Amino acid sequence: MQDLSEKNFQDLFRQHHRELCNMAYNLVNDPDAAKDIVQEVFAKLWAGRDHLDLDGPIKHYLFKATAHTAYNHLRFQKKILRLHDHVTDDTLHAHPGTDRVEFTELEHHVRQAIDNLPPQCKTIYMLNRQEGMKYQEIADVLRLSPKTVENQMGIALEKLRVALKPFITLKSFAALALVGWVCYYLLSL
Amino acid sequence: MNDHHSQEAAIIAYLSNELDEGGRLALEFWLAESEEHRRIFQEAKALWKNSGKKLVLHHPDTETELVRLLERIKKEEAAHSKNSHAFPGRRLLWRVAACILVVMLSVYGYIHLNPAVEFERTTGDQVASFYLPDSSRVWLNTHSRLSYTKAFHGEFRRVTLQGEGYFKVTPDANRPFEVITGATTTRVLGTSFNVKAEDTLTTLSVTEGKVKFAATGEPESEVLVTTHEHATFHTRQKTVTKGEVTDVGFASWRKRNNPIYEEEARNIKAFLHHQHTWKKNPIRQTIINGRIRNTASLTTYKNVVLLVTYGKSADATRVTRFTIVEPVKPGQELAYQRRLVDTFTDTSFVRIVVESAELVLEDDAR
Repeated sequence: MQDLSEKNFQDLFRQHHRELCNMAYNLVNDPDAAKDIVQEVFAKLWAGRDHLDLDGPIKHYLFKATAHTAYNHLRFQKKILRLHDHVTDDTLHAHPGTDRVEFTELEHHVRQAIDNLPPQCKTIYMLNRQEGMKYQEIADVLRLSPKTVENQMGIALEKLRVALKPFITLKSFAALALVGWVCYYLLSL
Repeated sequence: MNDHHSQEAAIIAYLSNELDEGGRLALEFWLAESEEHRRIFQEAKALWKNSGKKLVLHHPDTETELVRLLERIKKEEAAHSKNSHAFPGRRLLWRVAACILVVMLSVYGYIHLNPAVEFERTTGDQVASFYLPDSSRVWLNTHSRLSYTKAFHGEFRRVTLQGEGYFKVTPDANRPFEVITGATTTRVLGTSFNVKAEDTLTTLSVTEGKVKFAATGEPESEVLVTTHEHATFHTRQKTVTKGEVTDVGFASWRKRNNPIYEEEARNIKAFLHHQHTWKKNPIRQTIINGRIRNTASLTTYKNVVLLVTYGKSADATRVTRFTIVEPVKPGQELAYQRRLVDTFTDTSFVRIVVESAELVLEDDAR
């Protein structure tokens, strides 16, 4: 794979474009930006093809590069994105396509809360939760220490819990009420 | 709080399967502690469960994107090769631009931030005359320079002179007027005097009033110079000497190379203003009371010829001329009285205009 001809390069693009786009889209929540990010990744790959030194499958490189580029995009586009927070709504409901992922209401709220996390926090959480990356891998991709990743995960959870309190506590209260009612029922038997 | 943080981190690590055996035990222990802890854990779990779904981009447009990518790569490569040629030139351009910017900034800084000079006047081949903010009048000889700073408006009206200048200072007893040359200081309250700074010799000549003259920074060398006296300071001998003005025309340079003076000599009527009143006396002669005002800056006029037109009506006029012999000095007003020989005429109008005048040519320092 180290010998990257133009033909190979195009195949590589066709092969991975969709999943890389999806990944970037998940992180930045903007279809056009996601496509641009993937373009960026491949353009860099091509520009550096002579000095390519990979210690694994090129797919891993592409994933990491996409994650990192998306992270940078989030960091520097943060303020602009903030103005378009409602984008989540549009993208979730505007085109109810056939293979559209259906979100429950809670999932929708969670998604919004995640989009409101600080860029680093959000990226780390998403990479871990949705891409299934290990802490160590995330640390490598974002050039952070594993400890930072761990802390950021904790912060993400805390912030999400605070933001989503009204939605998840209601549910747990309902569960508690149910449990309490069952106990009461059993005792009274 | 910190403990709380690490607890959240432990929960999420547990959920993402990153927790080692020890951590898991610790978490279970923590969960067993209280209902509250278990509730937090339940919330986290709900969050975890509900955040797993991925957004899917339905139309990645892979082929379109590939074309775009290839175009972009081509463009970038073209730009890159062009850049590598253009780089040295552009860099030079940037350097030149930076230099120009620095020069402009420093010039701006010099002009606007330098507190020293507020006003500066340098003469070339022509004498200049102008007023200072305190209404003092200055004539500046050719190739001379006069400047003052903001301090001019302060305790001393202080000006710096290179070359030669004639000063007609507006009196202000509270704020002495000082002329600094390289070597001397001239201090007055309100007079007219001439200061001439040559390489080694500075000469002060006084037209009118009292002037204190000293080597700069040596108050003990001060001398008092009065009307028609002059004082000199020689930088070699470092002494101030005083004497009578010998060269009466010390201020006549003001008339040479001076376009204003030339204009005054050529266009006399523009500088001589005339006004008059008239009435018939008991023997029916017309008495004219007139005033001639000289608004020139340097020129003294004499033998002013006035053209008088008078008569009963517009078609029966007579003409006569008066000649006012007395000199009219710059800025002065001269009153005269004349009578017309018109006893037998019912004069209904008298018009007088300045017809001509002569210049007083001999040098008059006053």
